[in-house]
Amino acid sequence: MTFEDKNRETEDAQVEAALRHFRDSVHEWSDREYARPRSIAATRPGAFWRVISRPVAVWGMAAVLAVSGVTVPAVRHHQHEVKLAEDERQALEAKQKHDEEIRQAALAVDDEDLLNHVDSDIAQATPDAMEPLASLMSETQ
Amino acid sequence: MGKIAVAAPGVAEFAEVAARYRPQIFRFLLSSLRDPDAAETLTQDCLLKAHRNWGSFRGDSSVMTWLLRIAINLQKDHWRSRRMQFWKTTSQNAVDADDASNWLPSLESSPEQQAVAKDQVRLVWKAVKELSERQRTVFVLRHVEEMEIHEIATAIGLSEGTVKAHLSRAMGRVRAELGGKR
Repeated sequence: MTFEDKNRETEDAQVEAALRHFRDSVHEWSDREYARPRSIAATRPGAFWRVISRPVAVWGMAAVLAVSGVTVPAVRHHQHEVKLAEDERQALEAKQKHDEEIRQAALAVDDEDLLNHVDSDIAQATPDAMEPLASLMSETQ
Repeated sequence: MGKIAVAAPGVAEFAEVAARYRPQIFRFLLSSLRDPDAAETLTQDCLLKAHRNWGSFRGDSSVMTWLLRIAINLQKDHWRSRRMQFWKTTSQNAVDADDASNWLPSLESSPEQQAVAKDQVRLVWKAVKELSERQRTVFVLRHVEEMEIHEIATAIGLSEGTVKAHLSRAMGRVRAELGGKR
């Protein structure tokens, strides 16, 4: 056996040993990893971005945004209009109620009291031109 | 390797086959990808695909070779999809070769021998990392799964001559890495 042959034999033995260690190492690593509990979530990173990167999802989201961009302001405007109408109706009802109260109060005054009131007003406020006639009446009485 | 070379068994037997070969499929994918999470996901995908096609398995090859063929195709798809996702690095979750070389069974050897073995494993990983996808697959099937050349050829769908050529190139790279160290 020549020196080269011996050298090659040694080298082959070292490579064989390295490959054997490599195989043992991979088997050991695999056994440990296989036995290790693993969460499902950790195996699926970026699920959101996978969904969001699909054309169908993109178009769907764009459609939702476009529809909501139109409908949301319209709904808010409608709600505002309804509120204004309601406020106006309540103000009108309050005014009508107030007027009705005044009218009822006026009706509540007795007719006789009213006449007395008018009579005293007239008696107290005899015009100057009627003064001689008034004195005449007091003399005859 | 303890393979089952039988005619296509019934669907009821699939659970037994899956339980038996699952660790080996996981090991092959782990050594190819160096990513435990990806290996676990692809192992599940492999068994799911095998279950769907269990009825069409004719038993021309062993069950393990058939399962490995599915795993190799899934692995190809995995690399292709990772390449398409250009904003991600292809080895985002992969374990570094230095870390992978830390795993050694507790052999009855001296600390010096353990250190030499660890260094050899690190150098082999370094060489494997530089191999092409096909060379790496051939190398792993031969030297980790200890499959014969004709079994590898069947699993990959190549001729035995092509498999030998890939293996020879891979071994040349490994030898160069180990030789360069010495």
